[in-house]
Amino acid sequence: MSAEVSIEHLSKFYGKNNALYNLNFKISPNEIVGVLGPNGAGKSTLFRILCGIIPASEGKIYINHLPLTTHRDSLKSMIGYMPEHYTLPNAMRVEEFLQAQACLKQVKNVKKTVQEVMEICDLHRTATQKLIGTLSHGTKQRVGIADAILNDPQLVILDEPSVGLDPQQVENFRLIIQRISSRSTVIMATHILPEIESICNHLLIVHQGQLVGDGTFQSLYAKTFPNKRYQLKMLHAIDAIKSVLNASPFGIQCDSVVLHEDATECTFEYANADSHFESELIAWLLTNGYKVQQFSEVPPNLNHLFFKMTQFPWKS
Amino acid sequence: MKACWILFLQEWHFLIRKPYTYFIIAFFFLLSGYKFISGLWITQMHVTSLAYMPMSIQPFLYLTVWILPLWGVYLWHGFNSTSTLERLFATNINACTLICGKFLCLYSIYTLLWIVYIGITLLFKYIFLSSLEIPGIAIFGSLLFICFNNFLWVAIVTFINTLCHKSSTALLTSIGCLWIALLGIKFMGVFHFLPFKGELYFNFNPIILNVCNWFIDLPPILFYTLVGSIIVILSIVTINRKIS
Repeated sequence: MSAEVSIEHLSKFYGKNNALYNLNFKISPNEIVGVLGPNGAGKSTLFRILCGIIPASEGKIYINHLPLTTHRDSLKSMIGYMPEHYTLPNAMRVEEFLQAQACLKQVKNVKKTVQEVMEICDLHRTATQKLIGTLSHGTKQRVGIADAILNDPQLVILDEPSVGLDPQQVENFRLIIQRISSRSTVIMATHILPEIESICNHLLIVHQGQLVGDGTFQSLYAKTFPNKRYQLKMLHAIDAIKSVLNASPFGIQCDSVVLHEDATECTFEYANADSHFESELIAWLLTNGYKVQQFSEVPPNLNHLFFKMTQFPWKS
Repeated sequence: MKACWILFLQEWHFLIRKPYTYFIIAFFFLLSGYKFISGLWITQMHVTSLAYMPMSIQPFLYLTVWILPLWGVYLWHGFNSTSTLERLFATNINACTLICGKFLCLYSIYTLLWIVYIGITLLFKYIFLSSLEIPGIAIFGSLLFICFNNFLWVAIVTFINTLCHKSSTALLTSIGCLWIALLGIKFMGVFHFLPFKGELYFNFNPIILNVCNWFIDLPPILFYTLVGSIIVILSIVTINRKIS
């Protein structure tokens, strides 16, 4: 069974600073939720509050319809948490450490459970008897995940679990998360956006302590970029491209222009793009003697969404 | 309470499986051997009474209290980082449980060493100095003193370890603080800063003599437990501040 989470008007203040301000969202069972946000946005604070480590200043948190404030101890046993910069005791062996953690979490049948989680996290073949200090970073991260799921939690919270992993380890990590999500709700924060795009079915975007995005990637993208986006590569200087597009019958304003070795790339949005727009624009450019190298519609991209939603006011 | 007990057992389990622990125990008994031989020599030369026990124990305290920082640092290694604390606090452990578990582990293992030391002293006394009279109550008095005395030293080491982020800093600061505490308590006695007889706080001859007369000397007992408890509470506050 996996957990349902509901957060209402959640705020956390450190003196006069708002670490989190008026957060409202719901997470359904078995969802894999990606929490995105720049460093210092408040992701880790949100996780600490969700795990019952620190109290919220205002607002309510319900896990499986039970308020966290009054059912802290019983709810803690339903949650598995892997903090950011996860540190492990280097002098302990993997199995020894997991057994100790299982005892602390008051798990029944410690040996069997430890064996199970080591299999889920692919630790059972080589790492069992190794000293934690001798493990690679990726294996240590897997030990952290194994620790988080020891108590068969209904809610697993992972704070930047894939930081510092190589591409192969990231792929293994995805498989582990998918295995875990079959029996738990997973909330994870990461800065690796393709990972979020491929694993998560619900996104929360936090910026300066406020929730600026809540929904699926598609819904957020459609809301943030209601118009189609295009990419145009031409063999002309930056200023020339800007003025040409602006002077065209379509009155296009470039969002960004990048100078490459062989061409200049320009990205723009167009509000009234019908089925003929692309061919009409190309035809107009060619008849007026401009050299077009490439023209295509930009597919939805989490990078664009993230930058758009977490843009600092002074940068926009 | 259950979480504290589990943590306590785990810490014990962790300590007894590590060679470092046996290195410290060996060091302790090396010192005790040296002290015992010199004690035997003094006893044969001058002492034929009850004063033997304190004479053997008191200087030994100066020598052995320094193993506490070594153990404390080992026990707290890795627990200085916020992420380790977060990992623990996400379970049913809180600052109070953590401090109590670690404090009790260090306290019990150190006191156990002292009990073993007194046991060995008595064994040797029966073998080599059977003519020397040591009433059982004097042994009880010595143990009582050691138990209350250790409470303060272990509390100091625990507190320093909660404050420091690096093991090396914690080790040096613990040694410094123990030194200051030992000297401080001695000088409080010398200059009569306390409303009670100052020596009571450091010299435990009176406690043993009072126990022999079926009277337990309360001021030193209160002093060590009260100051120790305040330091333990400060440790809990420090951990709570670290995590918030």
